[in-house]
Amino acid sequence: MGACVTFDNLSKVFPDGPQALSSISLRVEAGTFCVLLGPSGSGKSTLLRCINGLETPSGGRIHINDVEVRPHTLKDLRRRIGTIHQHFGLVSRDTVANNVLAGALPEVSTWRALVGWFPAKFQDRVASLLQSAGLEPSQLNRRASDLSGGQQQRVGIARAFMLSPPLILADEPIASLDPKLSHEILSLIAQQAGRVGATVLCSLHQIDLAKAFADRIVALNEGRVVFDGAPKDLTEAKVTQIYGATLLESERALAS
Amino acid sequence: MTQSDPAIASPWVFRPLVTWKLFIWLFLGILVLTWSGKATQMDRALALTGQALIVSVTGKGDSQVAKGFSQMGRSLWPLQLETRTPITQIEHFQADRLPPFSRIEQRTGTTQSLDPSTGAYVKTTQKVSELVVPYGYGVTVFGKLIETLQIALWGTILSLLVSIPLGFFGARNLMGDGLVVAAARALVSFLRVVPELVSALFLVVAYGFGPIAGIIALGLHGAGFLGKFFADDSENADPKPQEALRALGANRLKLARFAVLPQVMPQFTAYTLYVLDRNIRMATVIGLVGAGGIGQELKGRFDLYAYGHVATILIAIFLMVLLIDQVSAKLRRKLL
Repeated sequence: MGACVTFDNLSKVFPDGPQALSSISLRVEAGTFCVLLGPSGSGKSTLLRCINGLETPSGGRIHINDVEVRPHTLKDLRRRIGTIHQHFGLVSRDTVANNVLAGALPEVSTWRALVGWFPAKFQDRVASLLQSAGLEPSQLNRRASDLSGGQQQRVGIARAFMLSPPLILADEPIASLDPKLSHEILSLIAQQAGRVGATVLCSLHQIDLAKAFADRIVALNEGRVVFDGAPKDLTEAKVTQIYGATLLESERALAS
Repeated sequence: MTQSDPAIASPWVFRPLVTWKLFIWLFLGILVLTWSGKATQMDRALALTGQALIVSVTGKGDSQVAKGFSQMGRSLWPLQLETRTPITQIEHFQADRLPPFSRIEQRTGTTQSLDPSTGAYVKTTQKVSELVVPYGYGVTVFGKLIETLQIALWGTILSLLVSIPLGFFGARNLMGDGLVVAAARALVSFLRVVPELVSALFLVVAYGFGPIAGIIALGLHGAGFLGKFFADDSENADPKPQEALRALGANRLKLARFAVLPQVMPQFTAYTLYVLDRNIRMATVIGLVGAGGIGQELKGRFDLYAYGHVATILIAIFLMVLLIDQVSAKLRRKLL
């Protein structure tokens, strides 16, 4: 079953920057594929990073199911959150196998991890995840850096799903991929999450893809929620409101 | 408006390559070097060397330096390779089972002893049979070289054992910015600033003559180097995989093993090979203060004015370093 995420009056101010998030209150129901839209710097990444404790909020609370995100609950929460990163976050010099196995590290004792001796069930899990991600068995022991960008993100997704987490955070998972690959990668995330009914919070820049995959779209601008609703309610006018006039102007300039 | 209109200053301002500042610094530099050259007798070194060169080329005149060099050269030659041992000093000597290519020579030896009844020195002449092994000293030197290599090897192993935890605790990306990092970094700096030769002097007092002092001295100094390199490399490693694993809930040790180590392994290997290389060279030097190996043999022979033996040792060290250079270059190419 998926996890339900509740933001309660969440805000974040960086010491040297503007207010990244101001009073965000949201409730993302279990099993939802929720897409975060918004221009660069609107606070999407910060919102996601507050959930798994990579950033500490300046105010407000986040609950995952009934557990509040606090320093002392993080250790337990993190193993139930899978994170997919914009730049994949793979160790480029290490093998594909080790990169995915790393996803099981919280469940492996430190001594076993240090000598690299993972229980067989995790190896089976890696094989089945990589297979459903569309990788070849011959790529298992290749270096991660030898793979193409799309394949590296598949490895990153396999790692995130290693422990079948009820919550998946994806921070612009397709930022560096072409449109066809982008569609494939989002399908993979949706399909893997669907198997266990995991909740997905995914930040994107492509409005068409957001509409295609999301159950719910939340748009941010300058750290505030400016749209929250079903994909069909995201009209042209709303998009203009989210991104400001600049987007449409530049699109028109491109068209003419 | 013309290009040369002086009223409009061009925004493209080039910085001059040579300024008065440069000349002032050059002048100050020359001043300091002149003073320092006087203090370290560089002028005298130049004069003496020039004189020696002139004397050795023309064959006329007199040079203190040339004389010194030729005297040294004469005393180093011939190389001493053989050993002579009085048969009486060899336990279980068997005349029919000599080492290969060895012979027994008779020598009239004079021994001086104190006569206890008269209190005067008495010279007694007697025939001494000696076992002469023509390559015996070569074998001794070879054994000492092997001991030197082993001191270097164990020194490197010790420095790895010490520096891996120190590198871990000294890496800010793994330990945060706190007291632990400061303490580890301070310890590493301390280990690095104490020269091997100095710590070996003290360690010889504590552990006695022999390889133990040498190994510990090399190991601690090497740990000072490796600990710093390991910590710095870890901090410079790509932070993205580290963040990814932190978000997964991996602890520090797992992070170090799976997000940092695979990235920095090539540098780690290169530094460790460098330290091994350096330890082999230094292991010959620290023997001079009694910390085992070929250096100890060299010092002993030097103090006995046995320059023939010294020459053998110097050539052996030279050959070993040459060989090690070749081997380590091959190893480096293979591992990196």
